[in-house]
Amino acid sequence: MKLKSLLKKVRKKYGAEIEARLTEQSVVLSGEMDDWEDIVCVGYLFVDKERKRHVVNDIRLRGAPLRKEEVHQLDSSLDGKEYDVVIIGGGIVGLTILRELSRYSLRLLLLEKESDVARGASGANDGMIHPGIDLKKGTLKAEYCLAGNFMYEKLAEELDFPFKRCGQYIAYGSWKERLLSGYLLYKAKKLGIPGVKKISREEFLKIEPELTWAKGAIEIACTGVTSPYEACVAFAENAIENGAEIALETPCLGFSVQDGKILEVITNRGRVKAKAFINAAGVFADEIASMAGDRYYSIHARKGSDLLFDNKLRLLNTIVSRLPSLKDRRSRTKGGALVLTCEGNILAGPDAEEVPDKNDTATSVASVERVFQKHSRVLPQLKKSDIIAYFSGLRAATYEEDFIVEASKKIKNFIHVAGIQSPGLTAAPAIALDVAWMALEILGGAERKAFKAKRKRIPRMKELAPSERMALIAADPDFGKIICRCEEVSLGEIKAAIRSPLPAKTIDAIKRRVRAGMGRCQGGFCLPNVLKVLAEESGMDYLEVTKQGAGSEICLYPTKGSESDVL
Amino acid sequence: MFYDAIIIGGGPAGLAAALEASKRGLAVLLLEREDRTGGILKQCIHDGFGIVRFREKLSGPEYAHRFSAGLEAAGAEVRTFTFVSDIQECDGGFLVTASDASGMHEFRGRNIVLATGCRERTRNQILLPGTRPAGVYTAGTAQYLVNRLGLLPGKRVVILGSGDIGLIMARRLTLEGAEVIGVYEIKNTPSGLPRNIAQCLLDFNIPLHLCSTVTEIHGKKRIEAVTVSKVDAAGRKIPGTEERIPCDALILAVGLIPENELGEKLGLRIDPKTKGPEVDQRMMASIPGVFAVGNSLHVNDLVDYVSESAEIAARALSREYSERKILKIDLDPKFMYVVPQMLDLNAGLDELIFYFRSNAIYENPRLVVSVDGVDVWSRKYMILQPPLMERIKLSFGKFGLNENSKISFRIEVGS
Repeated sequence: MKLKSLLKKVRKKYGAEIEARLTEQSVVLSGEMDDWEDIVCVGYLFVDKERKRHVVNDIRLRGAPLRKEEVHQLDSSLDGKEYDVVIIGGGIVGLTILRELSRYSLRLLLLEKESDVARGASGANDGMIHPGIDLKKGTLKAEYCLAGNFMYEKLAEELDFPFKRCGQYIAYGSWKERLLSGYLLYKAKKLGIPGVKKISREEFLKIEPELTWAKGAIEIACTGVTSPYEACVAFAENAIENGAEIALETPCLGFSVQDGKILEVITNRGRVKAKAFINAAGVFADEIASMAGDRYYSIHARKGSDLLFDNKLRLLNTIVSRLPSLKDRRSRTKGGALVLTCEGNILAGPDAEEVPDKNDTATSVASVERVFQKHSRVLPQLKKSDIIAYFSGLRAATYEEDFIVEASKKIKNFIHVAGIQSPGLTAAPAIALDVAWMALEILGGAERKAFKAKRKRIPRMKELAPSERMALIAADPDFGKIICRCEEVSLGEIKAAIRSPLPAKTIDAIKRRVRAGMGRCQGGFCLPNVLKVLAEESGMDYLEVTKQGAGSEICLYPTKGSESDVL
Repeated sequence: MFYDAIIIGGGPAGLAAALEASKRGLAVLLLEREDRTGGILKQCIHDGFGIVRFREKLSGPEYAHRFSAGLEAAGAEVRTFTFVSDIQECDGGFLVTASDASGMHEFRGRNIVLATGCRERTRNQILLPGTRPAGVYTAGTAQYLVNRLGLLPGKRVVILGSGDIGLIMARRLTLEGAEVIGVYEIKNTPSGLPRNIAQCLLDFNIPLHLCSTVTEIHGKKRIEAVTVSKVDAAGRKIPGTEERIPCDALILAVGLIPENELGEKLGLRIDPKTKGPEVDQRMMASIPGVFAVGNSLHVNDLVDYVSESAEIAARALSREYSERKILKIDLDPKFMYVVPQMLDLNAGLDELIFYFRSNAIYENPRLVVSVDGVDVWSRKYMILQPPLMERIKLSFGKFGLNENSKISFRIEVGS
């Protein structure tokens, strides 16, 4: 690597004096610069084409505020406990690994710092199960993506989460765009993606009649869609049913390392021993690696915003995008698509923006506009007034733009599963298979046990036939009492979420499991009722009910002279 | 068995429709989603309800009671905690599918009265950016939390939007010991009723900031602050005017939208201005036998008119209707809307009630109604303004209207 010439380039282009040094596994950059985008660009500049080293980009943003230390509840509920494997991170990656390992006679613990699983990127994406047509052959991304894609039918069936292999259509509106479509056919062949073909305008309009501008499309039959947080909850619940434990609101604060081996993980609930540790911490994976003294890559957060439209729109049946213009092709995202979610909403998928703060999931007018403009080119019938929600997630990108799935070279019992950004949801089940093997290798093997592969989800009144609804109501009248009007969610469903294997303890957790508050009124009507049910079912005071864990209380005070717990 | 009318929703509109229809001897079924009737009135513990109708200042629950009390005696069947999931046209009327704690039910009715009320616009509908913490609630939700659950969202409150419920909540929160830092309104005029501006803000020294809006929400888990900014005439924020205001609650009073998912599924034609079904003088929508009343028809400012529109529909309920002969009413662009939007020439044409709002403030305007180009009625107003809904009574019987006639409403300003 010609560090000197690269440093000269940085000096010339950005006027910045930075330092670069080589370690065994990385090139480490340090210094200070004024602009975050520039810092990220410099990181990319140092990517080793031969893939011998990773980039650790420690260039600081001048004047950046220090990250606010999060305050965590302290107790000793986990202190002194011993496990075979501890997984750090309750996103799709950590949860698929947890479930995979729960096939064996192992003591398993997953640590999640937030109040529920899937609070990071796993819960804030468009739910697409990708074919990986935009990926480079030979990357881990391409390999795991295609393998993961084909695992979803069976997983969705076993774990009873929504999944549709609806197919994806990349439409073109001009001969210029059509020329580009040939490239997609070439890529599909090269990557071994089956079921990719050109279809005519007539064939396409039969599938998507509203996209009248299309001259034709490329069909990718194996693209699918799932409900990402439901999938996460499914993996979590099934793992728990098979004996695994999940500790929520429990961050990893450090490790005690001895002779190149992690002995304990330090948490807010005490020190926990384990034989193997798996880092699946998403955007924070490099920080967890650093706690173990094994940070050889950087994760930079790339924000993407999605828009969700009212489910009364009947404009889309599958997943559709338009061939990107050459300009768009330079950006580091697949460009996003319009997705008909499993719940029947249109979701307009994400843009890309590098952000310095890994907790920054705030939305901006600019990004909402950007995403809306991009997709109204595909579906001009979309109106801003039909947007019912928008949210942002952070992709955990490495500078190499590939997954890191490997045992640590420095720490004997530590596995890195890092840089799992899009298509991470697709790839996760395939990654989990490999990581489970790596863990077993560290443990010296483990016995398989009686494994309950099936999990049932909470019934959805809205989706059931009248006779099925009748039967449920007969068994439990609460299933006949509708609490959330927009999504038609019953009291029975809400109570079931509160009593589930990974009990919903917050308003958001209930929302993600049974969709109460997910509709067009966004909880305006049902929030107080859900709050009441949650408090009563879990023996909380009304004032203790939170949106998403400690520090997010719905209400802060009682009114004058009222005692909220007696009401 | 066929009910003469199935009324969906047991708020002020549904209650009034059910009472009036059953008094007239019709077989009525009222379906209410919640465990009690009364709708939003249940949480409206302030007064001011019934001034027009009863010449009294009632609280919300008192107003609702005036209707619900006599309902069973009048013979109406009321089912609470019953959720309507579907309405379909069937032979002889409509088939309503509903669920309650005892199971799934199918009810048949010759007529349907939609009295489903309205919902509040959320932060998402006004594209309010920033984080998504706890502590951000619509005014109606906050009202429920405070008045029905005895919970205070916070004690340092910013209110966005000057809609009536927001103004009422500004006063209510102040009375409960919270500090309402200010009410921020993006427009250059308030959207709530003048009387609420006076009684809820001025009387409590709560500042109203016009041409200002919240441009960002801060705080990861719970709201910590908002950024407010001045806006220009087009509603764009003016750079450099941003101010960060620490707070522990943000209340949104940014508009109401009629709830018409059932009506839309049925295929009713919706007026893009009111966001409610288009109706004739009987409040009958584009499908004969389907009526829309109260706030599901258009957002009213006084509950008295909600009840009135419901009673107009109730009086028109019949087992059969003669074929309709529809005449649309022409509006000049100074109207935000006029309800009803059309007349059925085969139904009664005298003593018709019209509700309207202007699209802007007009001082000393004249409302003029013409038939076939000839002015037949006019009234002078001191002021017309969007927050104030107006009501007029007109008779068209004497004009010998036919399908080629032209009825126009216009607002004349100046001179």
